[in-house]
Amino acid sequence: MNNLPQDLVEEILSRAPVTSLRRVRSTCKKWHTLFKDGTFTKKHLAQTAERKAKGEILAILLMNFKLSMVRINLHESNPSIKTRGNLTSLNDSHKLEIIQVCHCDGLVLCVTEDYTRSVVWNPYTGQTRWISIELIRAHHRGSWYGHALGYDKSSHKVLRFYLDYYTDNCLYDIYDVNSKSRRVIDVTVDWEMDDEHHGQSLKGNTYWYAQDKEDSDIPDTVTLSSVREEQLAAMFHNKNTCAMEIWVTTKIEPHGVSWSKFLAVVMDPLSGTLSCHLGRFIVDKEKKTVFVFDVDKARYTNTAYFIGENGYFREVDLGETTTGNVVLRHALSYVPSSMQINQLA
Amino acid sequence: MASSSTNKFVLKSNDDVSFEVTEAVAREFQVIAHIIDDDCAKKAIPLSNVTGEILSKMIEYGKKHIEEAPVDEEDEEGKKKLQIWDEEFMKQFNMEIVFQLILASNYLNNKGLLDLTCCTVADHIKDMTPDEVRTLFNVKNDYTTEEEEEIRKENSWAFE
Repeated sequence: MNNLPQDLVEEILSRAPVTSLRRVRSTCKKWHTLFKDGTFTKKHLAQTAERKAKGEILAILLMNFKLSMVRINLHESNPSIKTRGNLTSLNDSHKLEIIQVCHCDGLVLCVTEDYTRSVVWNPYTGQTRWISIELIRAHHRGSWYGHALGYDKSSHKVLRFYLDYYTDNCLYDIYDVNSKSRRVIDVTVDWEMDDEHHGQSLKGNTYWYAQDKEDSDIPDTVTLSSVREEQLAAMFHNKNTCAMEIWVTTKIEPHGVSWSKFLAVVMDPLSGTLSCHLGRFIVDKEKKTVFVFDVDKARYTNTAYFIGENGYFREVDLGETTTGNVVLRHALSYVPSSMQINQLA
Repeated sequence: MASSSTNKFVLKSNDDVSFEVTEAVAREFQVIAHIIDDDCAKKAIPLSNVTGEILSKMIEYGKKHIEEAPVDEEDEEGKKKLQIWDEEFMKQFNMEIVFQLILASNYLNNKGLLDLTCCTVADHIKDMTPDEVRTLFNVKNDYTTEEEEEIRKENSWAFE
């Protein structure tokens, strides 16, 4: 067909969605090289960010053991979720069942049902790194652990914790992706974490919600998220009063975090459906809207809720949940990056 | 001097089709705006790289973007309306026409239309096999079997 000059071909390719990069790279050597070129990659990532500015949030959802990439449109009267692609793995002919997913600066940690095959993956560059971490105790199952992905100057790391219900003790260890070594963290703490909670990574560190051991009767369920990978966000949902509050950090220091209230709503009419127990959420700061991904208790379906000021509420049905509460629902706001696994400058 | 809404210009395609447009529409295309500013637009403005078929579509796009321009940066509703119109507008074209629109909007320098047309092709690739992409862009598969296997390995996981 037409022969476009190279600069116009690059104009087109710089707008290629993340979901078509595998095809694009396998078209010819020139294009493959192009996507390894720093200047071009920067332009491509900027184009992706521009689309976000048009009111769409790129996100990764985990439901029914499957990972998919979606575009969330926060258009006020008619918000929508469009699936852009599902995770397909060329070398896994058998079923790939993912039970947990964490995100840190464009890298994604996927914990598979078969725990020996977890992966750190950059969906933008296609790079994958299989990691094999021993279980802390041989009889454990991978789904019993809470995971987080982070990094320091030398390596990407996977932090795990396990709550032993019999002794009420937490076991922690950290896996160094670079040296492939595992180190047990021996700490005694006076707070406790629920293994149903997810850690939230931000700039390489991970934050968890924890409670004072002496004062563990708080009626709120609490979930963490981040805002544009710059701030932390916390969602409190009081089951008794149906009040929901979202707080966003204003300052994060090594030993303290300051918060300001972002949104407060009383979810009265919804208390029957929104379980808000394990759901994850994504904050859109400009539109003052929160996207909550949870299970509709009455119909038992995966459901997306859009919640905002002045009673703004919309829900989108995402189909039946086949995994119940065995696999928690995950929704991560995803920002593509060209970060290499373990090439930390 | 007449205002830009009443001032008219004639754009002439390379196959001799003429279109009378207001100055505002003509100025949607940077290259034509420069010709007007340089006061070289006495009669018809000849556009040697654009056919009448393509030019008529570009004028339709330019007109719409003048008439329905969002009031300001905050006009979310206006932006959304125009975005929906853009999507509908592109649906009528096959890829060959879209490629011609890319060349022409680059030549006449209309950033909005260049972005829209490039996005259309980029989104279209998503549902094509590598072979179909090669045909569309007229590029050859220059990988050896070993290299193809290597690329496959490098990209074993993807959202598709």
